[in-house]
Amino acid sequence: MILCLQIARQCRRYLHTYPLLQGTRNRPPKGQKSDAQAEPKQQTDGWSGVIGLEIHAQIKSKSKLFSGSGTEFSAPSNTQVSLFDCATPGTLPVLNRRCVEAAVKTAFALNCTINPVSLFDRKHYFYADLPTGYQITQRYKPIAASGWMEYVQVVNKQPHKHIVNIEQIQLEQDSGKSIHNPQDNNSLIDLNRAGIGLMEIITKPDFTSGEQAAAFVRELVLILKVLHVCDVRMFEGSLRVDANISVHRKGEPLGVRSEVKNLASMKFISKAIDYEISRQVKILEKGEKVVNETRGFDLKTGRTYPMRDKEILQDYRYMPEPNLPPLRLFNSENSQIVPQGQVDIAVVKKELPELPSVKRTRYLEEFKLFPIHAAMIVADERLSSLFDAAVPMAKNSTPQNVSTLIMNGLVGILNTANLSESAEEIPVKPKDFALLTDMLSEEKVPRSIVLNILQDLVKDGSGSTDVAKVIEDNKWYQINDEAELGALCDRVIAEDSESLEAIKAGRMKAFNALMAKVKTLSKDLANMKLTKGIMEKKLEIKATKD
Amino acid sequence: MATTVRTAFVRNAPNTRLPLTSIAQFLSHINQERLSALNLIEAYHQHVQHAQAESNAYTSDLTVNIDAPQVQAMLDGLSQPRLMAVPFAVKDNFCVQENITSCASLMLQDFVPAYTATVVQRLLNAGALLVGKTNMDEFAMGSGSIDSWRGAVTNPWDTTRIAGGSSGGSAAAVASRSAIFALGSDTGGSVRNPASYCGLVGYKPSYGHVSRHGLIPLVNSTDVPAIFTHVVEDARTVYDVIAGPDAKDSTCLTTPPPPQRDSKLNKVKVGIPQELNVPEYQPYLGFWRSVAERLEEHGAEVVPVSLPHSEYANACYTVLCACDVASNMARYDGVEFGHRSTASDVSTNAMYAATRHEGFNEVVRGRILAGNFFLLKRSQQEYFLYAAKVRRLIVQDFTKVFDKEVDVLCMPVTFGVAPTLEEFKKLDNRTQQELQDLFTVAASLAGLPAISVPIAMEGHLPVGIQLVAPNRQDNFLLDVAQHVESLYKFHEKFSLGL
Repeated sequence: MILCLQIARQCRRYLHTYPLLQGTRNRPPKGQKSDAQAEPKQQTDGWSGVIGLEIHAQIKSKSKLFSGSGTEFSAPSNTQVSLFDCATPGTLPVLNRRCVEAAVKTAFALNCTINPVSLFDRKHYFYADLPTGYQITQRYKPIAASGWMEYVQVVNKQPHKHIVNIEQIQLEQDSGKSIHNPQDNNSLIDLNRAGIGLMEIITKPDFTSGEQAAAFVRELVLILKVLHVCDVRMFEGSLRVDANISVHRKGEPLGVRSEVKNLASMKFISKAIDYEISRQVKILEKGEKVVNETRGFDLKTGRTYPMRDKEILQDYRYMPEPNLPPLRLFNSENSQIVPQGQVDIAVVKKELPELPSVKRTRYLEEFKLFPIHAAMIVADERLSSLFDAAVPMAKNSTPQNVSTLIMNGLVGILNTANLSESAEEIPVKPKDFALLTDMLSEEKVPRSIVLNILQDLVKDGSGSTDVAKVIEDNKWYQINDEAELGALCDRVIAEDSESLEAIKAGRMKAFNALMAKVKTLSKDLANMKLTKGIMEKKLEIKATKD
Repeated sequence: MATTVRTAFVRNAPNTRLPLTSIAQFLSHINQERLSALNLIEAYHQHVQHAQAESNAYTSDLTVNIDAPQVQAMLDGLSQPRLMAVPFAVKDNFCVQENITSCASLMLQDFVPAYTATVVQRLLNAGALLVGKTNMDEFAMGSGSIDSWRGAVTNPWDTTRIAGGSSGGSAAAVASRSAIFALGSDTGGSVRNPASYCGLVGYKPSYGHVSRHGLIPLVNSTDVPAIFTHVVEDARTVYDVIAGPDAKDSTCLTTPPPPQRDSKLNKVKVGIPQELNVPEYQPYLGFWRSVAERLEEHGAEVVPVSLPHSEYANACYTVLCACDVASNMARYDGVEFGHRSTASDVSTNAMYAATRHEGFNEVVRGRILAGNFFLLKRSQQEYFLYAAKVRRLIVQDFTKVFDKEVDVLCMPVTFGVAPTLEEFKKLDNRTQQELQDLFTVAASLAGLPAISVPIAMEGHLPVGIQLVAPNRQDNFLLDVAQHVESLYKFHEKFSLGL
């Protein structure tokens, strides 16, 4: 049953995504908000999932949202706690301008309407790591709302573009951490995290599968990184994802939803959502009802489970935060006077970096990259910065040559070296990468040698290798001279009469053996494309592809 | 010719009295007498002990903490700060570093804050000396200063009577002359009310003019650090020292106030709010009428005005106050600071419940319960949001009369004189508040500057009158208050005879 569903969902994905087009920054026409909404969902049994996400992104700032204490992740427990953070009576919140700017940046990137006036609210609940008994958040009038974001999902090595609607972006405080110690029957509280600024990004329920939701989060992570507003280290909890999931049949009202909390990686997002969809479908098919509840995700079993301490229905008793005046944003573009110390959204806008979707469009339109290359290179900031730097340095190569060497050469090497995710930077200088691409494009150095050099550069990691000198010292130049290649062929033919006879007898495998011998004899330097023609001429045959 | 009121209070007064009635008088006295720091501090200590013994005015005597060499340096003229060696007291809901700040509650009876409230710090920087923290209603919830973990405060004019509240301790401290001035917090009338009962000036500045950083909140949007003095001039001096923006309080106003209205009496239009002429006030109507008449005699134009929504002010305040209380009190869970119950270790939640049950008195618990109810999803619209709308109407009433009709409002502060403890205790806390705050709470909801000025005696007890000015017209209000003061000369005529 679960298997069936998954297959069905995959089919649906193929059906209802559209190929990566040459994008624009304009909002797609209404009714085409998202492919998932625009087209009917087909499943063998008629059920479809409806998923909305709430993402908590810790804002990268030196101090907390409302206090001056630090935000370092690795600091010893309770060393980054100001009087305000531990709810000392009589202390008041003072809004951190950096956090506001981060939210404005993100709002621009997510095409939101930025509210010139937004308000803070108190959300009440008792928990030991929430010292005030309430969280300051922005429920009713957030800093930004009604946005949309483009993201790319790769299905079967083909990139597909989607649009997701963003409901709102709100500023709020993070809570502290509780460490429960069952042995001594006590709990330990660490307030270092309490009060760190969060952006809560709430999407509309526009996703239909776990993979789609994960693809969105991947793109969002990229945007937050490019904007420098969040560290996005999921294992440290600087980005946390909650998913609201329900299922229904097409044409019927939305089903009762459950919320799966704290999904800490792309894999878990995808798995937990798909599990939850199948769980709800099973319940409904049995004629039972889905319970509106908060659930956790068990990494080991791959299943969701009801969270006990959230069982009691919470009434958060929202009220406006009386100690903070309304947050006003100014726009000097509208000839507004910006008071000192206030945020000018025009300035923030000017400082916005190139966003992934814009970059993808540029790669497609300006550089004519293959769509999959554009998608994959943009998806990895390290690759795109290498690409952006190397393209203007490569004298005799097209950007396509550069992207091809990245995708068909470098990425494999990085994966083998286990640098696919962890390393901050790729240990290959753009200058060297451009040189190698040129060497390859100009047929000066054979591909296998280029890959070997790349591998050495990655392995060495020092960045001190003089690539041109290494090639010169080793005389790693490709042999393109027909006479020289002809001589090599002659030598091989003369030394291997056995293969020669096999070929004459029609066993074409032996041809490849001869070719391999030329390659070895030339120390990998022979231009194999040319060699093949020469060899064929010499043997007076036309070798088939195999 | 001063009338002296002699009470038991006075009979037990210490022998070495200092003239602690106005800053000017005090400064000239210490200049003449060339007192040593040690003598001065010892005298302060005796005054505080006396006020404590007679009125239960203090929760702590801080004269022992005063740095004598530093005071001596001041007295020797090495520095001549504005409030040189002036003794002052602070309500026990203002944080003072290294000193217990209890809010007169078991919950915070051992709470020692690691910082000092902005207003207190500014006074210390100006050379004033903190002699003690004063008693109050627990977490400022009350209007008689009887609901205190440390016992009721009594009125220095008659110790069988209440001092008013919730800043009753500060009022008693100044009235009994153990401090020249004191800070209280005025949320719905908590300074103006006891000032009226204790024959003092009680001045609540405009909301946003004085920093709340370090004031343990009751209602965040109406709490204002406020001032008790004997004379209006001192209230102005203290206000000048404590007012002004503070980076630690985002609700402090940073823009300059509007131009001051003309305070020459013949240019001032005084409004008499008709709705406040309630039947219960009839016995004291003469005081109100007298002020109106005297102002008119001296050139002011006195006109009746209408504040049609003022009768809902109390109901509105009750709801908004409870909501803020429910929220502000959520932090007292026994985890980070304050009282922690050992009665239950079944779960964290059980610990919270026991801690909060033991730590708060019935009034506080009742308001927390009510506030949480008002904020529930199902009742928010009907109570909290409705009260917020009523508040806006009340504000509009004031805006209307101040924009078009008058410059200042003249109204009662309380229903006559301080009731006896016995009378007062017969009523429950809410009824007490409804009666006591009737005339004061509307100005609080509107954030307006308001002042209670003593004018006369009814028997052996003082009576005050209240003036309310447009938002941010603080200096104008003080000018008018000084006119009223000069018309009655209460301070010169009546004294406790110390």
